[in-house]
Amino acid sequence: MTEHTRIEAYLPRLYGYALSLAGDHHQAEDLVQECALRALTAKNTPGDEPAYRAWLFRILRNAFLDRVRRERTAALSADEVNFAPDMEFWQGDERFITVLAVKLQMEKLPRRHREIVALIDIAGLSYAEAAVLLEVPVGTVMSRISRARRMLLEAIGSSNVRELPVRKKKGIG
Amino acid sequence: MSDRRITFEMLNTYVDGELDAAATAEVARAVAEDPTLAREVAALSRLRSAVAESVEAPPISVPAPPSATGRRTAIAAGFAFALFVAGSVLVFNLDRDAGAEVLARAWQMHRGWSIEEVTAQPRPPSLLVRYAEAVPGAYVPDLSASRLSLVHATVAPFAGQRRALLAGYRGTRGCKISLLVFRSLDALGEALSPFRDGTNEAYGWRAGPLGYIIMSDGMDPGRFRLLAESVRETSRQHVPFDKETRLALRQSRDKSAPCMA
Repeated sequence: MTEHTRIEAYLPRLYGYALSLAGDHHQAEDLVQECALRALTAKNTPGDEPAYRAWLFRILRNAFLDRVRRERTAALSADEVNFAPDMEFWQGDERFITVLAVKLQMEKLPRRHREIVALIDIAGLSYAEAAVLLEVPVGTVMSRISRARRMLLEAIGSSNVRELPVRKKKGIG
Repeated sequence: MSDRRITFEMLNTYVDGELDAAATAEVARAVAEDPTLAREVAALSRLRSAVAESVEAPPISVPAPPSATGRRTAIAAGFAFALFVAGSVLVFNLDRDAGAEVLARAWQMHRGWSIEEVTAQPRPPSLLVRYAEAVPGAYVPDLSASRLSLVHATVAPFAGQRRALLAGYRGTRGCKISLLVFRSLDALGEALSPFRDGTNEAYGWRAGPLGYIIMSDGMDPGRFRLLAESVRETSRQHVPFDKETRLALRQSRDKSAPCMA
């Protein structure tokens, strides 16, 4: 397997993660391309697949952070919103959790929350892998993903995005 | 009433398969006995699936890494530069000394800002007016259609007694472009004249009494050629790019690999 083929398998997940960081489709594509270029020109590449995957996501995150620093835009910390530790169970209707609702509400999440959801649910990283990537303890990943999902569920529950009922066509006979 | 020993965080950890065996068994037992917890687990599982399906990645091409030759060229810029000047003089159709002086100075001016100013911010267009007065009639185009922002402008001594206006543009993927405008050298024609060596590329042309040189190190050749042609056209007409040109520049940029320099 060539390095090209190897990295191609991760492009969709890298894109999902990049989108969670950048919040913009064009920038997400740029980030993935930059990540791929950095990976392809690296002198050493991790051999086993989990290490390779974590390495790729770290490259992408570093590329994003470099860009933030370079452009002097708001740093990641600017999105750090303190939420009250409201860990009551969600009372919403499960049927409202649709792909469309998630798409709409993910965009509104603070970047920090989008990032952890993307790492766990899109990239498929374990808590330990995400902790290494984000340079935080595993317990922090645990609470972050919990808060992010909680916020996402609340947003979905209070939005007015609902699936339309499927209307059956009337038959002739 | 829900089992209060089971927190929302634990349920998240449970659906992610991150609990140890004992905790997993405890949560599973609680979920089996409590409809509220069961509903929570169902909601979280559904949310995970919806998030995973929510991203539709567009076709993304993996850029080709720079060749070993290209990397060497980037590292040993000084050597490449010397070769570039020597090789380009023939194309420039000037006498050897004058051509070498022009190109050497042009690349020196380009590197003067592009290497150092990694944190340069986009400049307001009004700033250019002041600089443009130093080279009357100079036209500095808006290249935002190609996602290049003007980040640098200066006027500096150029070849002979000339002064040149240099406009530096930076893209979002490492591309850096310099546009140099100066009182024309007779040998420059109205058509694009290419000067190329490795990843260093430049095009020169004359528009009325002024000469233009546009320089890039590392931009995709096809994209750079289109950019140079578009800038040449707009420098002759002194009007912004039309809709078709903007679209072509945008598409060319989107299809091209990031800059290598």
